[in-house]
Amino acid sequence: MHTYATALALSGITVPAHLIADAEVPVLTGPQAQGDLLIFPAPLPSGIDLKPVPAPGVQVVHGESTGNTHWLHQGFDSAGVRWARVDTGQVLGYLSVPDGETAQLIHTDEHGANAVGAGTYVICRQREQADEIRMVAD
Amino acid sequence: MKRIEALTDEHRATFGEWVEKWVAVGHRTGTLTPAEWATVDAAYRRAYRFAGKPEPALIRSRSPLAACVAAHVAVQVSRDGVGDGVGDGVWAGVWAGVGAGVGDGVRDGVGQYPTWLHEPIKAGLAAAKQSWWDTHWGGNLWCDWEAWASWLRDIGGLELTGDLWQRLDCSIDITTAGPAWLFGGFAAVSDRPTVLHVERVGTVTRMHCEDGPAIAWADGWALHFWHGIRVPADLIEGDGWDTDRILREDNAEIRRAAIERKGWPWFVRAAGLTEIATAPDPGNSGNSLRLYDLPEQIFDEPVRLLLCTNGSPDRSGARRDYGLTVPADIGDPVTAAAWTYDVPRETYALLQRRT
Repeated sequence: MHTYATALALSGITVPAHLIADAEVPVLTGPQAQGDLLIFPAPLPSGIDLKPVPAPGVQVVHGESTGNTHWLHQGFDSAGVRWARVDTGQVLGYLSVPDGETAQLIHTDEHGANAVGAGTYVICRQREQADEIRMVAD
Repeated sequence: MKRIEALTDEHRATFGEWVEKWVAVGHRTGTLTPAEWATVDAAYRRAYRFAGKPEPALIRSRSPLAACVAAHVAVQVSRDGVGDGVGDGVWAGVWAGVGAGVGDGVRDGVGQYPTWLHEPIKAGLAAAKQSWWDTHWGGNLWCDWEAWASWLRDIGGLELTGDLWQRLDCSIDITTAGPAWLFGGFAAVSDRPTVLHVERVGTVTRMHCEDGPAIAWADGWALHFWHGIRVPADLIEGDGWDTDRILREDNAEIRRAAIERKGWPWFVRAAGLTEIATAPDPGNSGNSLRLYDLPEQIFDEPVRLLLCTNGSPDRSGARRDYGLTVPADIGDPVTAAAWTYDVPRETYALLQRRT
């Protein structure tokens, strides 16, 4: 199981002082939130073009300014993790994790890491109501 | 002449980097070096010649406001003919003698200075207010045409006849500097800003700075922006606005900016908001979601405030509260939280872990 230290190292990040480096990141298959992102189990729509998540990881929120951002990585021994970027409305993309494997969603500043077990998931972002709907930026 | 018949995938692959290159031109800060001013000077001279006009004198200004005002005042003053001749007369008159009598004589002789200067200056400023758009050139802040045309030439391989590409080079050199105001005989050209703070949200780049001007020039002219909304300086500087000032503001976007600058947790306390409902925050043990009503005059849309606690501490070790506005017809905090992610209430209620 990853700790914050090993998970964040996937993106070359050392654990910020306010997080406990050795804290284990529990592998979960239910809904989880990381700041302004939500990941929750859902069947994949048909016609989705999933691609393997490469070793350097995937920047989940496209075009975020450099610095603080959410990254998706393979967990230990998890070369089968796949992802499809959608960027439609609030839905950022779809994630597929095979049996026995895990994916790691990490945040480069505050939020540490969330581990995702076997299943298929939607990753979406957060909105609020202003004069029109606005997306929340972490 | 070589034409481009079709846009290929190879062409499209160059767009990303090309755009970044020209965005960088628009984002450049730091006052121009003497060599850069020389380039700009030469470019405006060529530009006027291409237009069949006599070469201009260049007025170097430290900000766009200074350039705009200088140009329009210069036009008015030169038209009214109050120039060197009068200036010499005043100088000679003042040093010709001493005492009030001489002073009065001089003032009468010249025509009651500074009264005669008021009207031309005021007329110059009024003219600037009316015509500034027509006489202005964007410089590096408005270089999308140069980005487009130079791509067609440098990457697309488009060939044009005559001196047309030289005119493009002239235009590109002009983007070394900032906005300019162009008149017959002279051009007032602004320097680049000394300060520029932008943020990228998706495909949009906008100005934002939470603790000072988002853009500022060497003469002190500065503008403040909150996530792309222009706001008065005192909204950002110092302690920001208090609730009285916020409620008195006419513009809803600016009211929101003022509240966000101080933080919703502050506003909840300072404005004495009424809590409607509270519920434990799923997956965020020990913390709760709190829903508040907002006074009617805060926003144009009827909204309520959902106050949440971060799932992780920030770098100071503190667990920060933050607020999100949700539609006012939601009365349950968990439903409100689910609404922000656009998922059913049951999905959010099952949240296992929030970081």
